[in-house]
Order: sequence, then C-alpha cells, then structure tokens
Amino acid sequence: MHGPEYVSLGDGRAAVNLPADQLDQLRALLARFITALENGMDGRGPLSWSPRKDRMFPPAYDDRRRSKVFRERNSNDLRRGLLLAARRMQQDLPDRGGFTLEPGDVANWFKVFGHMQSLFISRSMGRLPPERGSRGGAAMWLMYHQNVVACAAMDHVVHEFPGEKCVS
Amino acid sequence: MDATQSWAVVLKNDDINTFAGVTYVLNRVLALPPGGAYQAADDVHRKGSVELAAYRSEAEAQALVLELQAYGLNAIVREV
Repeated sequence: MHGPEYVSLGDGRAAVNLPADQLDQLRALLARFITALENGMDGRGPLSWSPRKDRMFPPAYDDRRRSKVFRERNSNDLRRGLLLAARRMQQDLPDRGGFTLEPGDVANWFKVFGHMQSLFISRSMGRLPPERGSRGGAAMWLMYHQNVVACAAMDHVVHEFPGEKCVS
Repeated sequence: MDATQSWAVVLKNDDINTFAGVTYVLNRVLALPPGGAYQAADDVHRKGSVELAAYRSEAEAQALVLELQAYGLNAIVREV
C-alpha cells in the first residue's frame, strides 16, 4: 500500500498522488469546511462562532478595538477567498490517480489545510499524535499534508514525519 | 501625521504553522530567499514574534497582514 506523495517539479509546482482513501478523506473535510464557511459551524450564519473565528482570523492589532474594526472590514473578504480556494480544490480533485499542482494551486492547498486546522481542531488538540483519537489524528493529517505541500513547492522532499522541517 | 511614525508588521508564533509552512509563506509573499525566510521562521519560534517589515502608511501594513492572514499566519500591525 502506498502513502501520499508530493514531489517537487521545480518552479513551485508539485506532483501529487494520494491514495484513494486519502482522496476520500480530503473530499469529506473539504465539504465540511465549505459548509462551515457558508453557514457557520452551528448553522447560524457564516463565522458566527467567535472562538473559531478568532483562530481563523486572529486579532490584527494589539488593541482590541482596532482589531474589531479591522476584522469587521476584512473578514468577509478573507472568508470568500478561502471559499474560492476550497471550491477550486474540490473541483480539481481527481477521482483516482495523480495530478499536478501549479504554484497558485499549492497556495490554495496550503491556505485551506491551515485554516481547516484552525477551524476544526481546538487549541489543545493541535499537536496530539494520531493514536490519541480521531480529532488528534485529523490534526496530524492536515498538518502533514500542509507541511509536505509547502516543502514540495520549495523544491524539497520530506524524508520523515513527524518533523516540521523540509529535508533535501 | 507624525513624520517619524511608521507601522510595523509583526509575525507572531502560533500552534498551527510549521517551520516549513512559515518559510514557504514568507518566501512566496515577501519574496524572501529560502535561507532568510527560514531564519525568520526560526526567530518567531524562539522569540515568539519577529518584525517582518515597516511602512510609512498604515494601509500598506494592513495589506500585508491581510495577505499573511489569508495564508493562516498570525500577523499584526503595530505602530512604532
């Protein structure tokens, strides 16, 4: 059985080959992420869940009032940008087999993997190893994929995980 | 506006992004060479935050913070 492969093609592009079960897992997470961005985690409207929103769009100033104004002005644009990125990923995922990510696709994948971690994983679960439960496993899964897609975009490969650094 | 006033963009450490991730974003967004981007990522990890850039205009600093937030990094505007 083969694991996921992210291979640098140079110039910021990456060749990706995900096993069928991981493609399915990614599709499921993307569907949940898109629904959350459109309707909120609790169905009361987009970004109505403030603790998660704080993690996705953290304060942009030390001052709370300035941060609030900044967020009110910009969070909808950020949310729409993430929605576009997630939908693009969803549309481009093949049923089976490998595919190529252009630099813009790599950026989209990186953003979506990162914000999915912020949205789905509570702070205390963020670094739990997979054997601690499915939520910890999801955190590690998302972190792994975000890390290797970044390494591939920078012309590196990752030889071992867990580990946060790219290895040539 | 005070002629000496400027606006810094400060990157703060977080519990989501890896060294590789921060290096990738700083390379892509700020066009830092990989070595410099990695050094900045290491500084954030060790010190908790690092100043990435300074601007005369608050709007320019906000634009960079927005771009970094889109990538999931924890960046703030700070008056200096």
